Amino acid sequence: MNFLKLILIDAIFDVLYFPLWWYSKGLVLAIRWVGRSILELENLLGVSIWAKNIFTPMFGQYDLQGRIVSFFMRFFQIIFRSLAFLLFSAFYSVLFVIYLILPVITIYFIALHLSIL
Amino acid sequence: MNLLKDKQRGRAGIFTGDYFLYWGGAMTAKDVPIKKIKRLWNKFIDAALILFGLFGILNLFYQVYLSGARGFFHRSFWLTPNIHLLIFFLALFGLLYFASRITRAAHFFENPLKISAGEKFEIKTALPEELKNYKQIDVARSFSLHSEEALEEAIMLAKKEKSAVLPEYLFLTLLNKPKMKILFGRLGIPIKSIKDRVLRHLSHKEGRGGLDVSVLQILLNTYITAALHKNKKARSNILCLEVVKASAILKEILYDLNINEEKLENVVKWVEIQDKLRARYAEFKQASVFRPRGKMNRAMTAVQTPVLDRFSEDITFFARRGAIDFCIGREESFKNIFRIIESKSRGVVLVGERGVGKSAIIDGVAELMIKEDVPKDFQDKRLIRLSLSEILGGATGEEAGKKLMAVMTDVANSGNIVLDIPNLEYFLSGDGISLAALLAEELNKVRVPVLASTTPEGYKRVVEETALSGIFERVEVPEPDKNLAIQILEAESAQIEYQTGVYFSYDALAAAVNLSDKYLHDRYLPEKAVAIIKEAGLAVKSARGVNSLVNQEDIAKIVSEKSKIPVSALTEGEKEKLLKLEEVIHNRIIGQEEAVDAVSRALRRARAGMESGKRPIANFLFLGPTGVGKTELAKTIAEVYFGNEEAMVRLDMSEYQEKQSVYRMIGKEGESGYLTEAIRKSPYALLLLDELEKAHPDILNLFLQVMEDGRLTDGKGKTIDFTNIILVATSNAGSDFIAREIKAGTKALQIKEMLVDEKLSQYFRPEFLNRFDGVVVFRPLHEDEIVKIAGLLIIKIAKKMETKGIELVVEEKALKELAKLGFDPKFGARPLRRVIAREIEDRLANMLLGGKVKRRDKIIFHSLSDIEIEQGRKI
Repeated sequence: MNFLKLILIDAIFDVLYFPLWWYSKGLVLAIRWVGRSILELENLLGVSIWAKNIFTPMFGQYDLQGRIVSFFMRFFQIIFRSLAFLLFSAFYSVLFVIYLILPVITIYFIALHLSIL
Repeated sequence: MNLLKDKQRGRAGIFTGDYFLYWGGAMTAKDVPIKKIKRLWNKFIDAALILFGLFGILNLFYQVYLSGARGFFHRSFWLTPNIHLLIFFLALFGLLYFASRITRAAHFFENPLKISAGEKFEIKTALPEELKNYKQIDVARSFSLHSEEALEEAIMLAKKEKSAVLPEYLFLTLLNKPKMKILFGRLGIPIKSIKDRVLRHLSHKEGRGGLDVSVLQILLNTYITAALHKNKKARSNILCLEVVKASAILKEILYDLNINEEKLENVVKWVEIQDKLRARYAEFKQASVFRPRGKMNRAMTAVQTPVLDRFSEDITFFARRGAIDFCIGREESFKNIFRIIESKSRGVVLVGERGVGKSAIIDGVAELMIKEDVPKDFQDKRLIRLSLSEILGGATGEEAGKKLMAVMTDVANSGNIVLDIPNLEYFLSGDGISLAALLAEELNKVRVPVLASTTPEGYKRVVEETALSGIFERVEVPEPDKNLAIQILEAESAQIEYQTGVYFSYDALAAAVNLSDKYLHDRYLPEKAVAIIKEAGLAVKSARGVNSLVNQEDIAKIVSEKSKIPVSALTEGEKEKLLKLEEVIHNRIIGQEEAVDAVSRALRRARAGMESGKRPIANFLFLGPTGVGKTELAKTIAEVYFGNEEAMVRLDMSEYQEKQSVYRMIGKEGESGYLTEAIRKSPYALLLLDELEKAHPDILNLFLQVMEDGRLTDGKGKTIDFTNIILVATSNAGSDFIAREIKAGTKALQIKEMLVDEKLSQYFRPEFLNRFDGVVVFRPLHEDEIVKIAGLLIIKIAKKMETKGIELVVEEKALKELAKLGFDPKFGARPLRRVIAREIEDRLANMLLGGKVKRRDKIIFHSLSDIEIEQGRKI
């Protein structure tokens, strides 16, 4: 039965380790996840590619009209795509903030409601 | 053992780089229940957390129900202490804890280390203070559940047997794991038969269930091998491989079951490849989401390319759907291609024979493009494969030129294309070469990266001799060796298995590679082996239905159909062939016991485990007068050994008497010669050199090299492999001497010695004679042997008559008459054929043409002058 004790001690340490992990290694993972998500978002929307090519005509239309139409087309595309990008980035940031405060809030409410006992 | 006992003070493990690897899993029988209960406990905790989480959510809903839905948004709802919300928040905390637990478990794996293959590691015991500067890695954390369990079961088994845990114990418990069923199923060996053998040889060592050092070493090696293979877990298949590598007994047992280390390693790879194929499929689906789907690039600068589309296909498009082949073992080629492209060269031409995997490499590039794992010039582009046959086919040179220019205009305009031009050798037909110059000009204008491919022949004539040489840099694509070819088949087989519903055994794949390498010479690995397993898969499916196993014999059948070589010759091992050599030969050769004996013994001697691999299978010199069976024996050897008496390259050396004739053999500069080309086409054959003594001495030097090194270099600079031939040279030199000595009753062995020492030295140099595995003396034939030979020849004729429904009987007296007419002391049995043609065949022909015999009649030659025709039944 010696090892049952061992396992119990192990379990208790594991629970105590959990908040520590949440704000250290877990935090790093969360930051990486948000970073990766935003990069994928940029990959999907391609804002920077549109911006880089703002003066490059679309579909190889190198005449003046093509250039003018392309410029405005790209201009509006960049605006809408940037908006979408900001919106989704904000969403990811909110998720990250929730990650940061959720354990604290939970413990606060637990302490609060404990007074009923 | 002491290493382990030092556990209190130090830790046993391996130092590598900045790391110290140690085993932190179960070590003794005491650890096993702890590990087990721990796993159970963890499962229990997870389940409890989930259940409690659900309960908490229910409590939240209940509270909402109690206070009314509107209360949910009131501060008082949350801030008034109550039991339901307390439970909810406790449960939420529990769920957070659960989330952290599974995330931690998923990130347990320590990144594979930088270990170079072939490094040797030794277990050392390290004290805590020694380890301060090292990152310590518990390899047990990277072990899969199955491999961990196998070890624990091995510990318990060893405890029961009152022994230390030896590799064999671990092997036994490993055999119970599901992966092993697949592994040994592929090898076609029931697990039970292996188990029985291992149990019979289970050894003991004092230790009561503690880990033996050898097992500790195995565990650490398993981790290292898994890291080298870039696996994310140390799985049971790799553990199995390492166990076998470490145990001499297991190696012996498996060797008895016809499994050697290489075979096992390839099957372990097979299991891995299939895991990776699955993983690749999933990864692809994810990565391809972000790639543009249509013909447009992401910057939307590209232009529609209608003409180009008509004459090409988009490989990146297929790659996105995973509709291209899995590319194995071509890292070197990728590296070369990208190095050339990054050095701002215009293009790459892959040079290799048809079927060696040039387009598989291009497909691999497309796959890397999908993952954007390519140099900048290739990013955000489409890989377009041009179809030269559609451009050049059915058109005059002028039309084809116009098409080509239109296509290249599209390429130039589009701006997002990497061009792939396979089969440059198509330019060789018609006006092609002038079109190649046109292509070079166009390519110089458009400045897109180009990946072309062609055969060595095509490279020489289309690229080297035209302006294309200024555009392309050459990357060699060699035919993969047999081992790599097997691994490629392991990947290819997955799709065939999926389509046909049959399964391949490892031996089937190995046979496909070995047999096609041996008997199908006009095509190259791996393509020819893939074609064979495809056909075999379909054949087995229609013969035995789905879920059947394709074995070696099924493959041999297909190869036999293609090569016209009997199945038995393919499946029978060399050993069996060698053992019954005399018996088979004597079915065809009458008399010449000493010669047959000498050849058989020499062949066996030359092959009995002493294959240096650098000489022909055997080299023989047959001496004796004409018409005594020298050529016949050579033909027989070809039939027995290579399955077909046509498997023979025959050279009449009397045609090679001048010095210049060396060039006819090996070719002038830039050409291939008759001999080298013949052996390149059929490297598994008998090389018969008639009347060797008549050849020019320079030619003899050529054969001296063949016999010594097993290779020749032709005029093109290609090295031709002669290690799979049997070289037989015949010579009449000294036949008078032989006849004289035989008459005088001298023994064959003595005659041979005298011949080699005295008579032959005027024709051949002694070092040349020494290269032969056997100098075989044929004696003149006796008359009674001629009678038997006549009998053999008659049997052949009788067989022909049988197909016409007529029976032919030639009685003893007639045979003797034939022998007498056909025997000539000078020419041996050679005139016999002519005599039989005159005396028997001519007469039969007359009878047939004259309508004297009908079906079911019987012709009896009592003697050559007394012929009877027995009328057959009338129907």
